[in-house]
Amino acid sequence: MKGKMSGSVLIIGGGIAGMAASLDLADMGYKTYIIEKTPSIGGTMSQLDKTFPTLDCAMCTMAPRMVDISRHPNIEIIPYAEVEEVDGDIGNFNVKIRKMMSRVNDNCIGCGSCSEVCPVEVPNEYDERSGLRKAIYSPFPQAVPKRYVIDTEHCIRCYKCVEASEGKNCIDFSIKDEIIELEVGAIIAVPGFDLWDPSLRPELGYGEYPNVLTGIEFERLINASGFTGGEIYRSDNEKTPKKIAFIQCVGSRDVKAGQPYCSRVCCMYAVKQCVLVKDHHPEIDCAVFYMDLRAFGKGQEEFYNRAKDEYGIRFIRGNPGEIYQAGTDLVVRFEDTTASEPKEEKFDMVILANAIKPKNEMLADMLGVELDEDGFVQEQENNPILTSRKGVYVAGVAQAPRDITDTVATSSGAAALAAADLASVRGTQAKEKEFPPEFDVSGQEPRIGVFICHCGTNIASTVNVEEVRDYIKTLPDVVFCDDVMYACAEDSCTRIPEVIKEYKLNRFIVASCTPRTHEPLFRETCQGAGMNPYLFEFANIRENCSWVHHNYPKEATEKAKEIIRASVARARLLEPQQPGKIRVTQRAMVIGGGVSGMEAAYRIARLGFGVVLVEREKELGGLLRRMHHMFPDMDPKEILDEKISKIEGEGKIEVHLETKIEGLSGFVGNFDVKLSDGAETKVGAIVIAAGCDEWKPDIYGYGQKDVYTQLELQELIANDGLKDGETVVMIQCVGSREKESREYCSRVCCSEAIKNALDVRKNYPNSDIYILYRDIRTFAKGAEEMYRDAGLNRIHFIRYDIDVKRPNVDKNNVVHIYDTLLQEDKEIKADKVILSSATVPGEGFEELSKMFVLPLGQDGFFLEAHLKLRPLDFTSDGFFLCGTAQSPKDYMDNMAQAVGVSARVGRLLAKKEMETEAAISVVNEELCIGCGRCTKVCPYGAANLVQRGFGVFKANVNSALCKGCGACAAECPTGAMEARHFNDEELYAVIDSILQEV
Amino acid sequence: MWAEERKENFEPKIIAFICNWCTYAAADLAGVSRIQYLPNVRIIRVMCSGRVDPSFIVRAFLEGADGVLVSGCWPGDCHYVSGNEEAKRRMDFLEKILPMAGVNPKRFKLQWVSASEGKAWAESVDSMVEQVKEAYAEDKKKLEGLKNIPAATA
Ligand code: FES
Repeated sequence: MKGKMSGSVLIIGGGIAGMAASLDLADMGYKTYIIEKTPSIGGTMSQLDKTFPTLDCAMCTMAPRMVDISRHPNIEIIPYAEVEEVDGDIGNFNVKIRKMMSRVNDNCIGCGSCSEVCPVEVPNEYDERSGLRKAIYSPFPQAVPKRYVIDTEHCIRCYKCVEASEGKNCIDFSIKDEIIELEVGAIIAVPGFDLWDPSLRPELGYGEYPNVLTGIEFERLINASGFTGGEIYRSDNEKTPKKIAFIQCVGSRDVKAGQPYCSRVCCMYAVKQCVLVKDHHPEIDCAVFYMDLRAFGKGQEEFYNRAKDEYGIRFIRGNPGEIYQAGTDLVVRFEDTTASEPKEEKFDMVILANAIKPKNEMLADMLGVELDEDGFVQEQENNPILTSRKGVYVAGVAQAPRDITDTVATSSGAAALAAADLASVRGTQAKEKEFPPEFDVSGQEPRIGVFICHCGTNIASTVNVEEVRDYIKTLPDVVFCDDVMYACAEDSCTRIPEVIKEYKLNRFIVASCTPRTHEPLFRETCQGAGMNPYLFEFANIRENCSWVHHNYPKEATEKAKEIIRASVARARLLEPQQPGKIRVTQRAMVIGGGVSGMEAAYRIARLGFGVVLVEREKELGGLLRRMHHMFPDMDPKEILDEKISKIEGEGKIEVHLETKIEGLSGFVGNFDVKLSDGAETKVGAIVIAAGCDEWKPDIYGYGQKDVYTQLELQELIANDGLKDGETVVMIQCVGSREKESREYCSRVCCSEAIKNALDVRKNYPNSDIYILYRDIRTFAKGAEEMYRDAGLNRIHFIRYDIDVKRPNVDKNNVVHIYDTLLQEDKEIKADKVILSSATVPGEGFEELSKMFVLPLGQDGFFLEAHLKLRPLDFTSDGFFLCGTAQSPKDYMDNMAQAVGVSARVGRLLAKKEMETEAAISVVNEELCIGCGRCTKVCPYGAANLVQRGFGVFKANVNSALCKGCGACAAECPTGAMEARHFNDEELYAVIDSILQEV
Repeated sequence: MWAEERKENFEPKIIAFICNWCTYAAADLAGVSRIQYLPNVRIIRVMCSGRVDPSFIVRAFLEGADGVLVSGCWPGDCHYVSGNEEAKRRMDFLEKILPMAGVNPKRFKLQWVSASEGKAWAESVDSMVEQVKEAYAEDKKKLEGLKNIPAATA
């Protein structure tokens, strides 16, 4: 490597993939740049209403992360910009970036006065061009950065915006495109995806009929924050539709259309959209037209079942060939494959699930990364994050279609790989914020300062700011009060520390906008004057007042007075809070020595931390040892040897074989673990990478001669245990997708069966091979192609439906099946019956769950902190998970999670000391009666009872675990539990002040 | 004109305890989207609906609040996993007690609002104002009814 290594990383793309990677990297101590083409980070996820299968609100989970990013000292967002040129190599890339002329400069504070007066309206991209936006705009309300841009293409140069922004100097028509250069050590490319244009299948009527929409267009229509406010109506007659058809695989799984692959997310988002429709309008009929319903991920089959059973959504197996309009109706012509006859049905809205397409031109042209034939990134070394160029990593949809859960895992993975490359320069470009020492306020009478913001005209046009100011000045303890044009602008922020000093203020209030975006800024400003940040108080008179009461200027003015008066009442009682500090043992433990555990251990070690790897069996390898050939075409022996030699070669990994966990004490950063081999060890983080098992079936004649599972079949093929010319019958979903026992889909069996069938075909060319299936779920990269291949290789697929008739294997291994496509009973005399048996939680899961107090889901797999955005964390700090511990998955997805989890661990171990939440709960032991109610409501196990004498118990809060929600304080019957910064006195004072008679 | 009309009528004051992560975000969204609602509400931000101690609500009623609204994330969405479940349990209990203390149950409401439901937030404030006015009318009628009962002779 020539030149000096750089401790910074460039992330190209600000969608959820880039966001997740940036936070991991920045927390690990790397300077991170996010460059984003549009004016805001957020990507596709910011357009979504709710996410499947948990129906979590997308914005609720995403917005706090966007704010975190905007405030992170190690993250710099470069919006409205594109990469122009990349030079150099791993360790020191030189990147040229074009910042597009937005004509708005750094003085913009996001007040929006400009946009309000702009006379130009153009279709809003954020609403998929259905709603309208101005020519000077911020793409959506929660946008980060909150900075407006001028769309120069549509701007008519009326300069109204310039007038409206008078005095701020934020709009400047002389701004030109600017080229900046960055030195970075690694690059993570997360360009996201495009969608296939469904008008290329003109028979479906997209573009011709206004009520034929794409999935993402419909998403904006049903989104509460969308252009209709979540009201579903037809654009032509503004009526709520009565019947909606959802059509799957539009352009996906379609060689002619150019996307032979499965887009992986459409089945589930269609199911989700149906459920959302039903939630609002139970009377709307929803029908999904599909070929194979691919509900393969965690919780998805369960969700699909609910959609069918509880919501009454119709699922019709058939591929519509044509849609035409008759009157106001849309007629869908299709063949119901389970009745094999052409049919027609009328709907009044049709949603097309159009294919996901790669958007990787930049990756190929600028970074020279090798793409596969579909245009996705060609992964290297069976690792979906590695590209052909060293130091360049990808995440999310760049390598293959992915949902958010799988995307986030790859993002953490990319962060981990970039961090490992730059481990020697970690922290060299990262910053910590520094502040002067804090002054002491104990025993002082409150001296309160107040800034009241006009926010240009945003507040002042409704609220009479001067009147409010004069009133606030009269309140006791208010020593200083002034009104300012923009409280958050540079000049005001410099004034705050000055007046704090001048008037010896010990509390400060800003009355302006929302604390959710601006509190960190003002807190830091106060810290700059040596004031503890918790002595700052926010009064929201914009979002909560002026903006929502345009028609009530008088009431709004009174309301603003009361809001600020209540803030003054609270400010009097505010106390300084200090975050706790706990030491972190910079070492991790990984439990489970299968592929995921081995990879995770290796990756954590590569980040520079010691690892203790614990495995119950005599050797490493887990299930991999029982495999002989893996999808798509991998040799498990080779992989195993390579992984073991990496672990041995790394030098930082201590392996304990035939070992179990005997005991655990401590908490995040400081766990003491006792092992069954007598070892006792201290670690800061624990990763659960325990693997799962193949279910031993008790159905379909298992136990009879010549009935095997898929794993046993691999063994058989490897040992040449079949004869040519035999009839091999495979049965899918054995023990999976069963509502009574295992409702989930085991995710890997379809690809596994087809791969094994092809292996049988190759070694025994004259065999008769059947696969009996319910839905073929070949969603993984290359799997759909393999499925097609199987058809060409005379492998017979027969569809069955357990609701119609279950297949049966009799004593003589004759398989009886009702073929739902041909609608006839069949009997096949099998020489070998192969059962695609369910993947089940590992034997040790329950024991681990009990010992570590970590939750298992209904399905028996470990329950992550958040299915979409935190799939690799537990809610309990310091615990992580990856691989099949979380849910069944194939090798590639396991790899992504195993690499990813190392970044999550790395974030925690990166610092010797970690800060804990400052505003937490504390116990007044004198008042505590030891009833333990707080321990029951605490979701984090932070509240515990400790013995203080014979039979005397007192509550205790572990400050390392408490997140400050205050549930315990509300529960406490004696008032012994205090939620700091939101304590009873403060809240009573606020209530009283609001209701005070004046 | 608005103000004129309002003077004539009873204008309730409503205290709303709302959680930082969902409902407050929705109120922000209502603001940013300029969705208009009635100015009768005073928001008190808490980190989670699970922080809301029933005693806050009692205090508010004692101090003269006409209505109290508690709002947090939808079940399953709570930023602190289960705080809203605790809130639900406590508020269900409180709802049973309030009538016994002579508080018209219409003067209290628990409502889930997600971060993307700016409109739902605005509507829930407006409908709360409506509901409290109804309660006011009902109570007034009752009170008048009571006045008409001839005083018992000692
Ligand atoms: S954070 Fe919203 S209810 Fe708990």
